[in-house]
Amino acid sequence: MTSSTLLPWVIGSAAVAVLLTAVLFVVKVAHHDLTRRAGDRRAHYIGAVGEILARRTIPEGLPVGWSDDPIFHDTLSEFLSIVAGEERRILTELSSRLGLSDRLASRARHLHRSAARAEAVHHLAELASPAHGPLFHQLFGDRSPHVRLGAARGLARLGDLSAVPRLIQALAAERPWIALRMADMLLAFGPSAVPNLTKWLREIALVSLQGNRQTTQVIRVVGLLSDPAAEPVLQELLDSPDPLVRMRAAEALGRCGTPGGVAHLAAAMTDADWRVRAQVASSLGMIRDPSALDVLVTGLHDESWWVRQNSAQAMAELPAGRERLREMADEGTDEIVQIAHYQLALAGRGGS
Amino acid sequence: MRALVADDSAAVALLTSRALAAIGCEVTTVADGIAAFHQGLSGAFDVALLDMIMPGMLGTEVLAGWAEAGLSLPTIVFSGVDDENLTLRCLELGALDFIHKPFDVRELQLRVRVHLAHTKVS
Repeated sequence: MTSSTLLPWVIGSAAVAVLLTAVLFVVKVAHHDLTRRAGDRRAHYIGAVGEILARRTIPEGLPVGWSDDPIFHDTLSEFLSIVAGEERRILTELSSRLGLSDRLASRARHLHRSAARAEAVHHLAELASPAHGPLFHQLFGDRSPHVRLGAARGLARLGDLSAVPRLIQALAAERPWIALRMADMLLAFGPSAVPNLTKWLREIALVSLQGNRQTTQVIRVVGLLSDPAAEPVLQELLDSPDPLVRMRAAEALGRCGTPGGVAHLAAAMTDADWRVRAQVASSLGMIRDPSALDVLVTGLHDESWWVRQNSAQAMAELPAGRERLREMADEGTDEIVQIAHYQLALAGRGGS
Repeated sequence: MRALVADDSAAVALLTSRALAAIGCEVTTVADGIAAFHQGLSGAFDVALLDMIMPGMLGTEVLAGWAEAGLSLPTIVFSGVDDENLTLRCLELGALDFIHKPFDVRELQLRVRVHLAHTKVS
């Protein structure tokens, strides 16, 4: 290739490079400017809403543009998520005067971009009133999982218990990460959801006898809701053929079990699966009932290292258990002496 | 009275600093855990309001750092995480009180007043 044929190619390449650099520069400057303006608007809204809350009055003639600006929606949602009482009432009044609910409902229904629809439904969930119930039910069937999550959040905020069975179904139908978030939405219903959840466990999980993600998530939620009313069905689940279900049931019983149910839980210390026994030991420690002491001492001699450790940790939760650990620290086998010293040291540091 | 407010949310920082200013506090706000830790060590504050989840250092880490440095700054922790173990951990590390978000501004003011009065007496 001669220099005369190479020259146009070099000039052409250089021109393309310069043009691309110029385009990139313009895009970067424009992006920077947009980000700065968004930051300015956000700071303005934070200041304005803060001022309204400090004065406890909403001025007449609010700027119409606020209700159409997603940055204002974000700001208002953030304030709504941190305040309660009188401040929350003022913010609800502010959104009502701006007609924000209707705008958000319209955006959630009609916008094409799923991210924008999800954003609208999440903000609407913060302002949820019973009138939005049908819309949230409708959006729960949206093609975007994030919109469905927002709708679930709205239904949870409304305490609409008719949505609980649909959310339980979603635990099986959704992808794992979304299913986990859906389970958190079930948690947001609070203890009022426990009867529906235990009914499902009794009618479906106990009958099908098959453990799956749906069952284990429902058990987890029931445990976290810490309602002793769930204790009987969780005790029945300790007899499930699936060790994962038994393990989750034992874990949930640690959170919502009562001293009266200790004997039932303690019986599961003979489970064939060491993971279940280890969890049972931890849960007995969480219930902190002295009647569990004997079975925990037995657990110190279990074949599994985890069961022995968890049993000692659970004993350290009980005054009488700490006393037994002190005795064992002096006269047990080498390993038990070591475990006892370790747990007593943790308890002494406020670790138990 | 001088108060340190540490929260990475501008909305929370504004709201709490206004609420504390309204009860006569001179407020300094910081937006991350490291700044909160260093400001606290300056010894210039009578009370601190500490968010649990912040960039740089978590609220528990800030509390542990202050405790290690021998600082006894009356601290109220606030967090959106409703976890009994976390609350207990904060109290173990020397926090005086724990406020869950969403919170009532007047309740926050009242708690700060009570703790400041108690600190004065003791």
